[in-house]
Amino acid sequence: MKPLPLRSFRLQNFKAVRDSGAVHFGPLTAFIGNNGSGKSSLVEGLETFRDIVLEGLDTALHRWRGFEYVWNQAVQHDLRRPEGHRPGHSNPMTFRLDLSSGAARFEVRQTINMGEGGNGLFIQEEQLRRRGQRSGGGRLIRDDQGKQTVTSSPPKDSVSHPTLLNDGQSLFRDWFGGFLEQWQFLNLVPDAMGQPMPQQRAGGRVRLARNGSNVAEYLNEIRRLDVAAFDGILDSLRYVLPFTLDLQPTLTSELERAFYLRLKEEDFEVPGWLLSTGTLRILALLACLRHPEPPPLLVVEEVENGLDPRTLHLLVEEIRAALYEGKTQVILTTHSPYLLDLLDLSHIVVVERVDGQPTFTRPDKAALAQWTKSFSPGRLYTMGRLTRGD
Amino acid sequence: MARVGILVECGRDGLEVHLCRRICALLRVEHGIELEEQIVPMDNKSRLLEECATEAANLLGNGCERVVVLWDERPAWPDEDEDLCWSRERKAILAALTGQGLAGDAVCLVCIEREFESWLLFDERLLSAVLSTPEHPKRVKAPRNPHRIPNPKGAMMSLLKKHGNKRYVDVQYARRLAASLENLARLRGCDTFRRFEAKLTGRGS
Repeated sequence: MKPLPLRSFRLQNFKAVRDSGAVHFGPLTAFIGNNGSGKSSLVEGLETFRDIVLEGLDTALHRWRGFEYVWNQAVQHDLRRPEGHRPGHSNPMTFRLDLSSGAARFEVRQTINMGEGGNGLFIQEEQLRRRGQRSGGGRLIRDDQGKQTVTSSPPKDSVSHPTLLNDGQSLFRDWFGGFLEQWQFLNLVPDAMGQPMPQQRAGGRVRLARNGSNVAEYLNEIRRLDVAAFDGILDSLRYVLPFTLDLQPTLTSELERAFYLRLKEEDFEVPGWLLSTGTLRILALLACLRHPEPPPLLVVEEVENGLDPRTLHLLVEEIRAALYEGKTQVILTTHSPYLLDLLDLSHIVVVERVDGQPTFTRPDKAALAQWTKSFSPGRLYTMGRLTRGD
Repeated sequence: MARVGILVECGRDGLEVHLCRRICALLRVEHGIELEEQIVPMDNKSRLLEECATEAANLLGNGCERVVVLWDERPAWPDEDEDLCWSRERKAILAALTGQGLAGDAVCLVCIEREFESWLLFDERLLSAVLSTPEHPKRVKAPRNPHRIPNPKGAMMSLLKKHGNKRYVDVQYARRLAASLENLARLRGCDTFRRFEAKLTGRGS
């Protein structure tokens, strides 16, 4: 297994999460918790960090209709004017990640804050530190005039870049934007996946949209890159739908150039918009897991939705095979004790509210040793044995 | 007609379901015995350990002459630092069976050394058949000492990757493997398979 792209993530003051603490990840991590417990908030925080780095603050926060809506409201946000620093509020939104890319391992921290009067929004501080090395890191802060200072590590040349970046642009984009770009977040929407979607015509890699809407074009690219990988997806799909003869990502140009799916059964074809929600979901998941150049990090929300128990078994085996090849790290959120039964206790992070705050706890294998002899992880979860029970 | 129950740890339509069905079909032919199998997929090892006694009692109560509990020594998600130990699970099953009043010969336990794929790795003809197409026949060499391979599922994955750039996903290959299993000669090279055969047929230890 290559080093895990994401080793840990700590999120502060994002949505309901005041401070997640460092949540550690393995090759496979599954978050389970009640509705509204905060499991999605953590992965949304991760995705928002990625979007801020790649797209800048304003675009990244469009999804939330503004910073105010995702800035934790359970804590005070008092205006502070530290000397020499730009005025901002207490309890800013903060992302801390422990990452690996190739042989390099680094820690990054990014702080987002709101200026005086509540109008200005800015990346207050960004810091990158290479672990185990004295050099190779850097830190960006914005001073009280709004100017940025980038300091390399160890500090020798402090360089001021007053016009280099605007308040919402991240220094990290140049440093490891290409690495983050490959991360795949999925919250699949089958209704969108079955419809014809405009073709990506400007070149470059096709990335699967968060809702899976361009799955037809994504599959078409897999077929172009590696026919064996595409055939593998088709074979796996035949396990789910034994009557499937063929699957065709098809380009139409009747009104606009658009891709859609056609599935062949016996002597008739079923267009994508008639496929079942479960079929579309498993297809997108198979496409990610069997892509010849799979995403190094795959994050899937409510992965079990629409999948029957037999297909869930297939999915877990597909994940196992992808992990064995060592190219992908997988993070899931789930409500399904059935899915937990197919995993190991070491994969599970239980999310629950304690005193109103989301907490993220890995079950203590040693403490549960006696219970795990008699009960599966899903049973232990439904019995309340995995929760803190405070 | 001897009716035999088989409890396996896979899910519906899983590897063990298809292969055990095929093995029983071959046993009927090879031994000339009348054998009717009732295979119960228990979904995962934890559930198998939790519920095997209840399920065995159900099967025996519904006309099975005997029940074979088949499980892998290797956990589905092995912890590399943890030693494999089939005797702990065996003790747990025996305790559950005793609790259900099923002590005796009616329920037989067979733990596969490593996991189910260990059996398949004994049969290079089976592997060659699964990897071959009419246009591209393949000839796979039998691995040495398949029962000592620490990660048989991983060995299958490597094998399929090497021969044809395919990905081994057990549920997906279950039907194909079962259809390609022509006889049991090679599988009998494996101690735990011979034990399974003996328990199924009621002949020998």
